[in-house]
Amino acid sequence: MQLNGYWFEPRSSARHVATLEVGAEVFSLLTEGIKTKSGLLAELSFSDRIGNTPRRVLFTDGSVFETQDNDLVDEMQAMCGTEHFLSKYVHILESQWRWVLASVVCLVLLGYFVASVVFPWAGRELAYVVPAKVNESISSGGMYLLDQQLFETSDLGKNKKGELKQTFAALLKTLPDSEFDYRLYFRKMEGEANAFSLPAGEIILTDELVGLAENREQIQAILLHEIGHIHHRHVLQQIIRSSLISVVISMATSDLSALEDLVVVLPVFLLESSYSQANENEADDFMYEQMRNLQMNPIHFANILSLITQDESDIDGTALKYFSSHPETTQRIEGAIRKSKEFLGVGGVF
Amino acid sequence: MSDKDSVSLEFKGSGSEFFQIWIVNLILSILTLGIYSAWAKVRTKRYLYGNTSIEGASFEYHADPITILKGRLIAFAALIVYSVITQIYPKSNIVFLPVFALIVPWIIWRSTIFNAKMTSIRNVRFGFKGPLKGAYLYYLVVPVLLPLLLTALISFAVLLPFQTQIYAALLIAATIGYISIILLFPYAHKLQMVYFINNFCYGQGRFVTKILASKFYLIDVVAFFITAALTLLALVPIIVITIVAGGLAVTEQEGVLVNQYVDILIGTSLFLGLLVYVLLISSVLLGKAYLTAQLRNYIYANTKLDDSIGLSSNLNTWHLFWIYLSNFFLLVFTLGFAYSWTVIRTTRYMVETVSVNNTEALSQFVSEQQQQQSALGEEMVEAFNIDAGIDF
Repeated sequence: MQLNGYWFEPRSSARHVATLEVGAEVFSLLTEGIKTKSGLLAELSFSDRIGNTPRRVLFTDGSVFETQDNDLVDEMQAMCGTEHFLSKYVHILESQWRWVLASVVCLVLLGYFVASVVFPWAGRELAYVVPAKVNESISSGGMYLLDQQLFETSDLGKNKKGELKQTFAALLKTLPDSEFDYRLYFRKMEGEANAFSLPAGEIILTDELVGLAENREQIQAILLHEIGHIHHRHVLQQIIRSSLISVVISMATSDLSALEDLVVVLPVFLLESSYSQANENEADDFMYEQMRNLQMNPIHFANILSLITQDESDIDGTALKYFSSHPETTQRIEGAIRKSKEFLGVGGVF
Repeated sequence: MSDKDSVSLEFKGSGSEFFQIWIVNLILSILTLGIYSAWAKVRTKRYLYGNTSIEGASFEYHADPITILKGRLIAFAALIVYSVITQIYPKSNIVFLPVFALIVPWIIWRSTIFNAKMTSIRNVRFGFKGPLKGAYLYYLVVPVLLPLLLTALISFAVLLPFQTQIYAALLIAATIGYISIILLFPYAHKLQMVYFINNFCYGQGRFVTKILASKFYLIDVVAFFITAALTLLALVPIIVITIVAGGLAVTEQEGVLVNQYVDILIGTSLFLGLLVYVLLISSVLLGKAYLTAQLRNYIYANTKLDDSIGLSSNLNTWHLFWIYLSNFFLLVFTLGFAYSWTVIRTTRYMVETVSVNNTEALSQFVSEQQQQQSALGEEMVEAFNIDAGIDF
């Protein structure tokens, strides 16, 4: 067996055209037709094969033979028995398209598995490991930010507030024991009928929502939904998940430049919003369960949701309504109506 | 030395071959929970280096995956701690910022030494002999501390006598600080390049560069105007959308809105929105292409190895821009699977535009003694996306 290439003297960049002749157990190196070195095959070491990049054969004196004859080097390595296990099999994986195709399929499946199972599971598990103090520090920071940027002080009268607080306190008494200290706050938010919860147990109702609600049960439904968020530690889960996502993304895209990072913005956004959709459903389920205990009709939740949706579309105007037709809210309203029918004992398919 | 004996670098990598290597790297890294990523990195670098050659002699990357793995594990732990703490306590960034400022120069220094020593061509390794204090001077003192000091001085001298309101004073001070950081940046960048190149060696041979800060300022200013002009151009469609939507809102109030107007508005908005998107991306990429091409051409033309071997680079801004832009959309439309092709395209263009003259002299270099190197600095650079500004 004969390999053609270049030979470099030890530690030197001086280059000689050379031929490596390989026998049963010995080799000899010819430079410009003259025999320069010879020895046992077992003395040689080789660089790993990667694609069709040039290979290097290293001699004990530090000199190097560089060649393009990759297949011959592979044969030679097999003869010496110095083949590196990892390198050999990795090269097989890398050079055969069926393995590459299998890798692509595997990658897509794994990505789906991680996004749909691993991230949510890790978020749920870790959220219960984190000490309660962390919840409080997130809450106080969150409340401060919201007050600074979104909220104004509530315009609700003393009587109205007192009445709502009584409803809230009565509702809390019906709940199973909780490690959270639930508290109710009132804030004003221009044109936004909404309710918020913070992880340590704070629940915030906007004046606009209170104004929209037609009865006490609708407020109770909203409160139960928010308590559901706190009970399931959704904020903490979300923080843990997005930390995980950002670590995984930064690992996967460490080779990309800042602008190319933009490529992953949309998938991450879709992923996070699908998680937050799942959170809403989980909070809804908590609410339905408590409503069942309280013998409340779930129709109240459907009503308050419809009121909020109508209120939003009144403000937004036609063009925006076109974009945000709220399919998920419609689904939730339909879900609540279905639950209400179950509650009333009305059978049949809708 | 005439142009006749100048030799271009060659690149033989192929997108599909690199795709095979990349995808296997990726899957093995995931299946081994990241452990294999150290081997993946070495294989990737060896593939790209091995396909780059001068007169048939290719570059070689020598790092040991185990060394990379050790550095990578420490860097990864640091990244997790940082990421979790800043998610839970966003304000802790105030503490992390000065800590980063203090360790970044050390990280860049270690990483530069590591990368230089792990690279060879024709059996002789590169090296980096820059002193650590140089890294602190050019990555901390000049680009960060000097602007801060300037800001403090100007703020005291100018603002105190006027007894302005505290918020206004802070705002003006912050503006001065921002402007001075920007104004000093090209100068700092030039110093970083000189520090990097003049301490870079090949065997016993030293690289020497003679570059002027004025050229850096000129190139940076033009790149800024290119980006600014295209960004302004992107504002035009935004203004059009606003005016049309505003007009429509008025007609709606008068109660004469017809549904077909809405469709037209939405159609044009989507089209114009896409236009804005492409223009904004182009503005950044064209600026980046101009900056990269001009700086690289300028630096190569003024850099020599051992006073005898000259380098040159003839990147074309538009060609580079086209590669950046098409790569970006290739990545978007293939959900990232075109990554290997984009890397090969960019590398091929960057490599094949470089030429070296007096290549006969390349045979006279001798490797210096090698010592064990830790890869911690290099891995921190990757984990925290630190930009040393010395892509070369």
